[in-house]
Amino acid sequence: MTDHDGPATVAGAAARSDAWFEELFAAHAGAVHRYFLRRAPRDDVDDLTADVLATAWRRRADVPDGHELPWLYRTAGFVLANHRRKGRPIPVEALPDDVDGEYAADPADLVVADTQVTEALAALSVRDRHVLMLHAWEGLDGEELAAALGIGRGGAAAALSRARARLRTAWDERVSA
Amino acid sequence: MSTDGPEGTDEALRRLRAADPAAGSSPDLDALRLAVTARVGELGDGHEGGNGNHEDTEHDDELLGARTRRTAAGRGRRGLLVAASVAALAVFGGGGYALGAAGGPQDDGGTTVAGGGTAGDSSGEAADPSVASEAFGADMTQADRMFAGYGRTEFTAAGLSTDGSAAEAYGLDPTAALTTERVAQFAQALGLEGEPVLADGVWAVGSWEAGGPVLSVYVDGTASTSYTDPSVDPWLCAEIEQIEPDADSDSIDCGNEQVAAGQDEAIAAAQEVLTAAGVDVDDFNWSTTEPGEHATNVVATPSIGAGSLDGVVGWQFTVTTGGIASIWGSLADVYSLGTYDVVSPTEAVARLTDPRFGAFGGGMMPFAAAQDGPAIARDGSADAAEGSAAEESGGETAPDAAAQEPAQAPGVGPADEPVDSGEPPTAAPVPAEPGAPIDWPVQQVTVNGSELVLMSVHQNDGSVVLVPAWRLYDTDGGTWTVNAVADAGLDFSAE
Repeated sequence: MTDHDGPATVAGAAARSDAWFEELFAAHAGAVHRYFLRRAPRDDVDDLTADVLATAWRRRADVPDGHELPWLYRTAGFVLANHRRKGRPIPVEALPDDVDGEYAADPADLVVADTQVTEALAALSVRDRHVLMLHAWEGLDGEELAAALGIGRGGAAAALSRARARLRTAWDERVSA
Repeated sequence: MSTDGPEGTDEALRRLRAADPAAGSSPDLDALRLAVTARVGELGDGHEGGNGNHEDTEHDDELLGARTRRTAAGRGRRGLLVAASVAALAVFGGGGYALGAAGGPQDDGGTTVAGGGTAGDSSGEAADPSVASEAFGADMTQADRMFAGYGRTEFTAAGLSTDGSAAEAYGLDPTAALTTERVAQFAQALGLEGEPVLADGVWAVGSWEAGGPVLSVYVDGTASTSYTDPSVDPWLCAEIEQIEPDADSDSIDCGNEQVAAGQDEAIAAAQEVLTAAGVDVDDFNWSTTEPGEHATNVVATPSIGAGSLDGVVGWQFTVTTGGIASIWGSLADVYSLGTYDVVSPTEAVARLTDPRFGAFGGGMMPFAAAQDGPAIARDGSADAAEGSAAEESGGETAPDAAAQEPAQAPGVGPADEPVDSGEPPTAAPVPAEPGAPIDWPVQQVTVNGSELVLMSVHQNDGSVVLVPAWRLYDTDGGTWTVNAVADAGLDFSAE
């Protein structure tokens, strides 16, 4: 059993066979698809999902044991950002860490029917939206949120509590008492 | 009205969860698996990677690049693509027309939506064109359902002026803020030790790992600035109370109980920091939200424009008696872009159904903020949320998330939506009569008030501007905001 501190060892990678991938796919393909449904234009969602899962196969040596899904979300963020750059393909591993939430969704792309939620979200910063969506929609918290954000756990907790506070403020400003 | 108690948290976060656009989705996993095979080959081919490990990196980038080029060529500005498909569904309403305009399963790349690139651009994609269209078609009804709430709305202007006018727009210049000197000055104003370090698009002083306060200034169009001091975090206790709402409050020892600062003290503390950081506090209108138990929120809004501003500029401070717990704001300088011609409020109402300004169309999104949303939205989103609750509660979501919000019942969406039927049905709905008209509700909105405000717009290169926008008020108490700058002042060309 590999430890949880970092990517799998070389021995672990060799053990990551077809069966490992099929299990990963069965467990998480739906989640990755939903991630993009929330953030990307509809007819890109399937492409983007397939790209992330293909990347998981190619980089299976790097997928951390027990943290596969947050790794997939983080990769999905990179894939989405790469998708948005104007025709300048960049190797996935060369994209900088998403510290400033650049890879989060533009509210223009969010498909949210609840207009009150839309307006409150649009009042927040890109970073707050990114954190809140990972928390509210992907259901991430604690270590998983930190892994998906690519930052330390303390930073993730602080980022989340800030984002929730600002959501609260934005919400209350738009709802009469 | 409590702004920072757990109840306030619950409502906003609950509604956010319920608004999950992926609620009720069921992706075609078989098609997806085939699409992965199209990219990596059969896994059992005897080698570790689809095409040999050393080629994987280039292959990745080829595919990503090819897809990016194909879609970019086909539709130009990504926002317009979404506007074309969504607006077609939402604004024109008719199901048949919408499906046709959005590119039904029969079309593969032939419509404006799917992109104009050729199949030959990417070996991965061309291998299975049918896969893509099958997957798209399977989820069409889901897309329909998602947009039902916003679409099929007709707007009428009542008693609004038909005169155009002019108003000032503003630009944001973050250049002066994004320097070692300026970031260091801000850090010193907070009593923070350390040299600013620029990494990954952020200027930072302090480190998360050490657990101490951290100041971050982001390299973006607004010089977004963030500060947190974990030792003064007022939310720690509020969150613990939420996790164990039934626990005896005396037994909860969060060890970091914070008390809200008085309103005047909070403003004074915030102004002191900004002044020391080189910001002129007289450029802002200062206010506080009602202090909660643990913290007071101070809000500084730039004194520009006639009406309100959205939250992209200005400052927010969270202050307790222990000190400043957090700051969020924009350190960029605000400067005038001059005066722009502005359309009349009546023309603004017409823009609400203009795809160039419509929902999800490139950031110029009309908002509806009515407290009682349209009945269509309620039914549509309630159904979707129910599907989501059933699917998500046992699925991928982390167990931690469920444990953290016990106040939410599994049926998180419907529990809050004021849907008519509280009881499950026991009899079938009455079947339709032959020849009877088909129900096709179209919401009617009458706009009878208008106010000129400022709205932020992110430009193609990442810079941020504040433009005049019409805030439109309807007879039901809803508001809709739309860009007011006349066409001549806008560049509609593709990115």
